[in-house]
Amino acid sequence: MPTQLLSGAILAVAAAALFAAPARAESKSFVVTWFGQAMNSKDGDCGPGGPNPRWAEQRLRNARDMGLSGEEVEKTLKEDLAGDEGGEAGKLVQMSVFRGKIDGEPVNGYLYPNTVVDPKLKGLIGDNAKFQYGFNLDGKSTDEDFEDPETHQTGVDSEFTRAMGCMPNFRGGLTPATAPLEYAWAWAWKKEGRSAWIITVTAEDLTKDGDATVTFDRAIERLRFNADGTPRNDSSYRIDPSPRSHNEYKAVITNGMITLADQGAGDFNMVYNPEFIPVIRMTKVHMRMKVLADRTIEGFIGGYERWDDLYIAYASGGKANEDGNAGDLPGLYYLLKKYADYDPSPATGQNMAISSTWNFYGIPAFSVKTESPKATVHH
Amino acid sequence: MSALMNCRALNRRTLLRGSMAGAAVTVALPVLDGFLNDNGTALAATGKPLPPVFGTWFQALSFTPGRWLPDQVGKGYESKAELKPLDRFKDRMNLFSGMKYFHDSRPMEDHRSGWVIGSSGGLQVGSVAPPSIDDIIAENIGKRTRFRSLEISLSGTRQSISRRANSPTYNPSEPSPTALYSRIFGPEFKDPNAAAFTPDAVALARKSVLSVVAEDRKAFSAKLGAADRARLEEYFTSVRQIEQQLEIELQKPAPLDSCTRPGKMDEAGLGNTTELVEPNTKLFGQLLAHALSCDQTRVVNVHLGIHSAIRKTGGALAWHSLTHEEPTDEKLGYQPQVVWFIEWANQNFASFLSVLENTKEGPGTLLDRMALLWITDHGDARIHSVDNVPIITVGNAGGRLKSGYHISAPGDPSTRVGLTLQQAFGLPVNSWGLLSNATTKTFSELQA
Amino acid sequence: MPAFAKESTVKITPEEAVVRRLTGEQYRAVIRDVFGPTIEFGGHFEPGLKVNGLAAAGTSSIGVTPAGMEQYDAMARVIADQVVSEAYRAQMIPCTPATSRRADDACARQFLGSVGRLLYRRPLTASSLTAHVAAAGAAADATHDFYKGLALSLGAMLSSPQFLFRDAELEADPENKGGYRLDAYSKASQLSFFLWNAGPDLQLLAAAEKGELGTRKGLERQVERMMASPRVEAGVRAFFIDNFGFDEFADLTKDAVLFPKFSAQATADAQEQTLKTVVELLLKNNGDYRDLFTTKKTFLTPELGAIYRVPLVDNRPAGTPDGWAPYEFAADDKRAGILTHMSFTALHSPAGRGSPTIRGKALREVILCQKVPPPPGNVQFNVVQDTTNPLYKTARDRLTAHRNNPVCAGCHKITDPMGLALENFDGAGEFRTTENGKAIDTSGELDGIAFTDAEGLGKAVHDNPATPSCLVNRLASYAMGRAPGAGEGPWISALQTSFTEKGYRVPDLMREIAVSSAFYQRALPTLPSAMASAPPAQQEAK
Repeated sequence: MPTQLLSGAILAVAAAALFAAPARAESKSFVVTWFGQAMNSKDGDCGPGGPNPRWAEQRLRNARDMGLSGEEVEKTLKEDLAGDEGGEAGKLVQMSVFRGKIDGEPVNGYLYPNTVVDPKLKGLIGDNAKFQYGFNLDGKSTDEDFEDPETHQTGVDSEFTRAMGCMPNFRGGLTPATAPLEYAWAWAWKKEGRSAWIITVTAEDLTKDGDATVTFDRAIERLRFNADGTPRNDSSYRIDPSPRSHNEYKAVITNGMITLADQGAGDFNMVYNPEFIPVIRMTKVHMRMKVLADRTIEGFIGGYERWDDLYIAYASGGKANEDGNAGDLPGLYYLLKKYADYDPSPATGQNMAISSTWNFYGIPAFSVKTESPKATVHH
Repeated sequence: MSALMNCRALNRRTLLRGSMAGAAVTVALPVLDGFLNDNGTALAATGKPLPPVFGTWFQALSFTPGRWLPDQVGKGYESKAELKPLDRFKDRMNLFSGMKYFHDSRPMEDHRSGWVIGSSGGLQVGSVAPPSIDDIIAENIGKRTRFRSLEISLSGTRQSISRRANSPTYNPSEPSPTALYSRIFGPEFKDPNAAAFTPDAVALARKSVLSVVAEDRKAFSAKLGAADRARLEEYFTSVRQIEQQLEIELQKPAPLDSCTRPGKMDEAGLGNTTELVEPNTKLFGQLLAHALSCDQTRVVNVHLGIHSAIRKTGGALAWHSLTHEEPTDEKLGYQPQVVWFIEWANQNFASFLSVLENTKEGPGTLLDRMALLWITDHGDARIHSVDNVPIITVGNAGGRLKSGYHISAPGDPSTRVGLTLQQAFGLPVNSWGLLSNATTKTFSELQA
Repeated sequence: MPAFAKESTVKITPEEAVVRRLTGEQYRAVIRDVFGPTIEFGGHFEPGLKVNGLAAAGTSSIGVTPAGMEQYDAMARVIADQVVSEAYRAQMIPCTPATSRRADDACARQFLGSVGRLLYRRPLTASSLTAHVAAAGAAADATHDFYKGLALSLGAMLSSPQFLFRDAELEADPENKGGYRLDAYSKASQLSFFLWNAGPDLQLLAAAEKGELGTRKGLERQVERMMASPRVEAGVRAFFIDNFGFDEFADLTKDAVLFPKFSAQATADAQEQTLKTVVELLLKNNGDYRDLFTTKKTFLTPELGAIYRVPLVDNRPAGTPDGWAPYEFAADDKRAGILTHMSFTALHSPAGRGSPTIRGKALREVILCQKVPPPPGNVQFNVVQDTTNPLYKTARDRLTAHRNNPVCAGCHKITDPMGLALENFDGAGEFRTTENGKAIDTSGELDGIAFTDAEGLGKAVHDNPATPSCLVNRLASYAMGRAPGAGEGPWISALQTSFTEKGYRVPDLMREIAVSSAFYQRALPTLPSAMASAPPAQQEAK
């Protein structure tokens, strides 16, 4: 078996050899155990009337938008409910799926959301929405910008949060227990089917202030789990040698907080889950994270993200994702389009990217580089 | 017993070893011990026990995390809220927690992957689909009855989780009690007590083989010393038991005293609303009870409905949509409408079980000789997780399966339950399941 | 040809001959050898009986229970049906019947005779073969199917005592006047089940038939051939699985909240890790048995890597996710030897914690063959078992408190000082350096040798004279299927001397057992009393 012998002795040598600079470099690797858009929903943050309606109600409004009178909607609903599939697959649902219109003909509204009448769903509004996690991406600070509830940095750009914050299934908090349904669902259901992500921090002394290097990589192995379904610590993962999911940043450690040395200078590209969001692409990336006493990490990474990537991810599930998870999909399309705040299209002036912040958690792991003749390991 | 042993969980095997240690050993079980119920009275007049019956019950969308998992394991656990409707069957039930469905990194198909693993022990590998557990057991116990198995659906569809080996499709369920009545008790129905009996040719041949080689077997022990000969005596006693079982198989079966043809029944109409499912469940329960009492089949599969179907009349959203759409009530800590459906479904299951329990057979009831496997698709339907899926068995399979336990087996494949059941039904198997869902471990504490 | 030492002819007073029931693994090995590796078994074997910690030693005292017989009967039919199935019959059955609808005695005789010789590990007697051919014929006529008839007769063979039990037929022993020894075929079985954990192959049966096994030279030639075969690995594994009590993993459970990494895969890997280590060191490298307790070389899977907290990936180009990789712990690592393997630390721990006492007891009993007396009745174990008591954070603290009871102190001295050295491994075998926040002190002592950690314990076990002599005892018990008798003492002593002189090489020890006359010498069994002495046939005639 042409397997490599991994001994403690080789380990020590290899760890020093990879990052050539500091003579006594110390590396720690972590496997990501949660990755979701950082939400911070509060009562009253959607203004009068509260959050946008749930989809069951929204589709009745859509029917009216499509020209049915209130009476007609009520009558159709009654007929649908008496039918075999109840409210789930009746006429209103059919209308809802085909609510796009091209040349007067109905078309699939998820494929052609721009041909659907904008339901004008709302985004976060008012003082109750003031605190959102993230970073000041554009260097400006206006009254419209948010304030980070942890760092109290002002001028935070997080228009994704604003756009989606009033969609019922996107409301929630940070931890997996309080996270929005959309992300809890995507995680619980898909967690075992995608490759793990590995974060490695290297510095001369990780416990002291100073320069560091941070990498985000995709692993070849899937995340490993314990018997009770929780992620397993101290497992080993090989780094995918393909450069497309390799992200390397110069970083600094200050009072235990690890941030990028040049916030906003780099990009972030990561293959995620083909069944959910295939690739996460961000530019002008900011990041902060800290290693906690129990050897785990928590942090945030933000930047400008292609909003059509996100829309396609949500809409690819069609009606099932609309009624089950994301909510009114064309409505969501218009929200993302409306709040997009970066990268205007030269042709139309429409912004193609939206400021966005993800939060993540991780647990200790071993990462093993595979492209070099000798495996190199960090823990 | 040494006190060091106190530190370790005792189980059947250690006890067995303990009781045997040192002595040169026979743990002779009484003849047909495995076939007796708790009263020891299941044998009918001819000495032949009524046949065991296997069933499945599929109920999608699981229970609510935190509202079903008991705090205690073993016997005498206290049911949490959602299982209270089943409390009166607790002594006949086993509740399993902690196990999971492994999908081995293949794409998860919405809901379906869960029940496919739950019923067939794994997702299809290559071109050959694995048979479902009812079919595996029917292969062993369902060949000599008129129907190898009966599939019914309580909510008007033809969905089922029963699949034959190598079949590309699932056995369609019968959604109509009236149609099922005609199928079983229509003109083709023959009173089993009146039918002529033809002994099985293979059983006859087995009996003759055993008698022809009997002398040869005895020759082996003729040469042995006293101690060895005593050990071989146990072997010959065991062989005699096999012969007795064959003898019973070759006799005309016991009269099915409780077999009666039911009167024609009116169905309430078919549909997926709770108002229709409830009466139809009772009708189907009665029909199946008659069919089983008359030994028309020994395997039944009951399907409550596909995940998106069940709803209340006039309810805009079905149970499934509510699992995603309904917000978790912050004060209650759960989704109240979803919980309503779960408790309704468990109540409905209990009413089905009551029908079987009320079907008397001699001193016992039909439920005594059944083992019903309750499975679902998820651990937490709201987020489609496949960790910690609840599994339930009801019934003792004619004394072959112990009950009354809550068993926690975190991280183990769900197939451990199915393997335990297969062995309880006498199947010569020692493993079940595919890839990570494969197991060789049964729950030995349940083996009678 | 190596010269065999005097222990191969040492004088003993032999024990009575007894028959032994096949173990589940031996049953499967015989079937696979006769009908090929693709045969499916179905069924499960009833648990064996352990005598002095060895299931092999229980095979001489168990019969077949009714429940076990049901399983044998069902398995026999499952196997036989496959053998005659259309998919298999062309390969398995050397002849074709005149018509498949009726009996064909000639064809049945040809098949049952050749297969029967392998299954019974000796040629069938004429009357036995005649009976089975007749049975096949009667069954073929009843079912109108030659193959069904053949299957039923074959099934009867597979549930017969001749197949399920290893016979012990005796012949006069020319080397010991007035004494007896196993006859050539029983000898062949004794040899092959010991070395290969399987039935005799065709060459060994041929050697028995030609009388070669009756001569010292012929026996040595067969032993050499078998020791050189890759099949000896199965024999070595079978012994160590039994010796280490790995069957107990089937019933081992852990509290999942405390030990979330403990899984079915982990327990399977844990056993395999130790077996791979044993095979590599003892068989492939012909190493010193005692080095098992100090070696830093082992094999790991990613599953085990996470438990031992070391990096481990399968780096093969198209690697399967759970492949095995050789691994060597660093020179300054405390982990050394198989006592630090999860297969020892987790197996000898209760469900919710580690236990130095239970580990120490296992070490005494399994590795050193020393009996630890059971504790007296009415002892309170609360202090030991409560791992949440803030006064006693570590196992050492709890046991110290427990030992304040002088009744307990005496026995715990025998077990705890060595068990405490393994406290860096929690109840599920995971590496740790603290317990309840307090640093773990792993110092201890074994028979006067003090050490500071698990590595020191391994060295002390390595150097303890009981370690190799225990192995000799257990291997001989395993081979004989019972504990050595008093009259066999000189042979055991001779084996122990030779094991020491040759540098503790287990393959050499296996060879020497296999060529020893004592291994085959038997006393005539005590005959049944007057009443029972009549053959069963006559009894029935009364």
